[in-house]
Amino acid sequence: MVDFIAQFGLFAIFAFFTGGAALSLIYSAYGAERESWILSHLFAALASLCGLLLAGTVLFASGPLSFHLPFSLGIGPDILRFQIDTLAAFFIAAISIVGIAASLFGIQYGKHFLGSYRLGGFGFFYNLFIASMILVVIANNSFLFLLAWEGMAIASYFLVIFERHEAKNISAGMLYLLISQLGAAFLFAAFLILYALTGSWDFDTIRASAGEMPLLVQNIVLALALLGFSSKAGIIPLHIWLPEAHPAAPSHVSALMSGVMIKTGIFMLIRFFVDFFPTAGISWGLIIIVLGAVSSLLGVLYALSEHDIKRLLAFHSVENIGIIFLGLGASITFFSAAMPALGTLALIAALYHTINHALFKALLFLSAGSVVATTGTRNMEEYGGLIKKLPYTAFFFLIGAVAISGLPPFNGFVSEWMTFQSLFAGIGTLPIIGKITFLVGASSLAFTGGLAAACFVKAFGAIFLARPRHEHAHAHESGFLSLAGMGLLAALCALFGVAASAITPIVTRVAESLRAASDIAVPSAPLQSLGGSSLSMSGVAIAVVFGVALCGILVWIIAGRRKIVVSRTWDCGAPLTSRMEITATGFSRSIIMVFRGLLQPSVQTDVEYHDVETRYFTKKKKVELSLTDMYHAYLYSPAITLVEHSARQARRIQTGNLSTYLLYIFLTTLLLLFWALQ
Amino acid sequence: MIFILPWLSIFAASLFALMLLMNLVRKNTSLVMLYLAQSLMLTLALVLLSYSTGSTGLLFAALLTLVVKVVMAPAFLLHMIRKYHGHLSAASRLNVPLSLLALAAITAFTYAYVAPALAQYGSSSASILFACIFGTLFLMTNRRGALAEIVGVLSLENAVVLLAALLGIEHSFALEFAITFDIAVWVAIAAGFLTMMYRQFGAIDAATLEMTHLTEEE
Repeated sequence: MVDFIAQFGLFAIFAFFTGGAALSLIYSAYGAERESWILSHLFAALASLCGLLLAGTVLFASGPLSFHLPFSLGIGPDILRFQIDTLAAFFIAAISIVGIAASLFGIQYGKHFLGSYRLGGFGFFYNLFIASMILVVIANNSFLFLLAWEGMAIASYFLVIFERHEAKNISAGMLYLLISQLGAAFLFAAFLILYALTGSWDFDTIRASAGEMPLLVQNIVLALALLGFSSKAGIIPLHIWLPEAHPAAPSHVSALMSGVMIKTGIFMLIRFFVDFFPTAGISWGLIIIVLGAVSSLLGVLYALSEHDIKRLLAFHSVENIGIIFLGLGASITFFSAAMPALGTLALIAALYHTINHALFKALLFLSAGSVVATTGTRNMEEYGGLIKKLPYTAFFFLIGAVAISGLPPFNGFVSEWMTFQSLFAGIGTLPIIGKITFLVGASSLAFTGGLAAACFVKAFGAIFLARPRHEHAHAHESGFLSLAGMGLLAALCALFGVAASAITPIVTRVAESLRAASDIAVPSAPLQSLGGSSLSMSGVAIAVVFGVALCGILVWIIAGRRKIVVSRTWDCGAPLTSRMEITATGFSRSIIMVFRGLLQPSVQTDVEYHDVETRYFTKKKKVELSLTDMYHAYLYSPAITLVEHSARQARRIQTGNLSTYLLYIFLTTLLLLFWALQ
Repeated sequence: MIFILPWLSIFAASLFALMLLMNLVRKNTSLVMLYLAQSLMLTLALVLLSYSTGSTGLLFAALLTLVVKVVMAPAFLLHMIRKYHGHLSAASRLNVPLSLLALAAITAFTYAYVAPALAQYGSSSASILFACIFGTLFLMTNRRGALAEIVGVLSLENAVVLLAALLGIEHSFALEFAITFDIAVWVAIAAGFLTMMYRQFGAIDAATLEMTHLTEEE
């Protein structure tokens, strides 16, 4: 069986994706839109299932697999080289799990688009998108990798602009494509430099010759890679596409984009900084930690100020990528400082948080999608009390919220705990600059954890609890398949938390495989190591369950026997209405004001009085809280102005005279020739 | 192959000489006739090459060149001259002495910088063809009329084909067929484009076209 999966698994994956894409177009062409949608998602789920089986085979049985197809694609020999090592298998597993859940959810989600849009194209790009992500992680050749990377960007662009009747979605897609191509330009430059130095597009050759490259060239390549892959990962200040593109895309696509697509950037950063260039240098590790600290803290602060549920989740992606960066940066620092055991531990933390974020973020996006689909709005201020109408969705959202807040016994706690351990270890062992940077990272992570919890208290409270602030009479629970998609992810969030002791060794094997030659004495169980601090997640889970049960019993004993007395409210009082509830904006206002120096909030108050003359009694008061978009104001706008100015200057050479253009060509040819023959 | 090299050099020199004449003549009809002569030289060069290599494909290529470049393209261009007579400018930006000086400078540059690099191919004719290529580029830049630009591109292509043959770059029938087909399409499009320009602006002289007159085609 293992041999069969190892031999045909990859073929099956791409056969299903191709089938899904083709059938989607064919059925749509014949007007069977519903069938087109269902088949495309069904095939994507089956392909993802094959991906999961293949990843499991590599991780547990067969070991790394290599494939080589002898086609040149008209580009050059040996382009189609694939390698599924344990790192690639780990990411295939993450992509496949989220792929299965999103596809199951999507099958019933499509009814919202029936009659409004042609669905064939969506199915085609949906399958292409997931297939490209898998291709990105298994490509063992720069050319193939860049093809897959661009395929992923283009497919996801078309998914982002799927609801094209809304102009905002088109501009969101354009911004996404722009940043994506900017990042790709850096990557092209990095790979071209590597090709110039090694004479090969193959990753194996790059890996073998990376150490012999001049230090300056290594640093240029690493800087280009960091810029290119960070733009996809969504690190600040290259994150601006995330809060625009995620809300624009259909929810299960947002789950895939936020859950796994941005992780392909992390995957390649690990490839470059740990696998290709294992001696990257301490400074690179510290830079990545600083980037991670800034992104995690600012990401969660921006999320706090949001009342658009999907934008809020998008900003949490920025925050969590920041946390992954903290682990990755610590790992690079430790490896460069000849502390391989700690380096591996930090890498385990980064990898663990990568898959954890994939799980809980996908779960949150799917739950949010369920809410948005039934209410027709993304504005949290218009929700309230939805737990009564969407009880299962509320339960799954709660699991995701607890997990992302880093609370036990769910998975987010485990990886954040391990990241803390790594950072504390650095504070204790590194030289002074390292100590300070790690301290900044640890402080940022501590702040982030608390603020994330506050943010999800706000989100869960505003969406599901209290009284409805708007009437959503037709709101109803999602269908079975949608709930199954969410349920699968919720169960995995719990499993990756409670069974962390069993899962950590698998992640350890992935991390160790990248540094097999360095003879690392990795702790056998990272959860129970480092200065005597130890953790039993099953014990924590039992304690949490016991604590919740105890609280429930106490509440029941104290309050359960009380009779509910219905009587008139006191004089001058008023009946309770939803207007008396604290809003999402109101909840976060106090926290935002604490960080007002950093966030530069602006508050706009609109008051309406009963008597305009006296202005004693307020009839209605509206407070709008917004943040200054610093990145636009201080980075992108000046850059755009500079480009526009340059373009205006460049237009001077555009005379409209053909002969002048020919003269330019002539002179350029002469100059190039002169230069080439010198 | 060795015995044909002097002949190829003669053809290369002919192409260069015809390019010089193209830069000097002031009548559009003469320009087209010079292009015709240049294409005929290329055809003969290809026939010689096919004979020396025993390639039937190259013979077909020569035949195709004869049909497209010697017969069709000049006929097409002459037809346009008759059709738009009075609207096709033959004026140049530089006068004849200055043009000759510029061409001399271009040739000197080619021999100073390009010739040493081409020495490994053992053919001095390659340098003269490079000078021919630059000379046609100069022709397109120097002339005001659209026709000179079209003929310049076609003449440039003639020099490139012969240069490739001299440098020993593989010269299959498929390649030559593709190039000739490309030229045929190019001439057709250029002719159509000229018609549209004339309809839109009432002129074909590229230097006098006013972009402000541009309106959407009905």
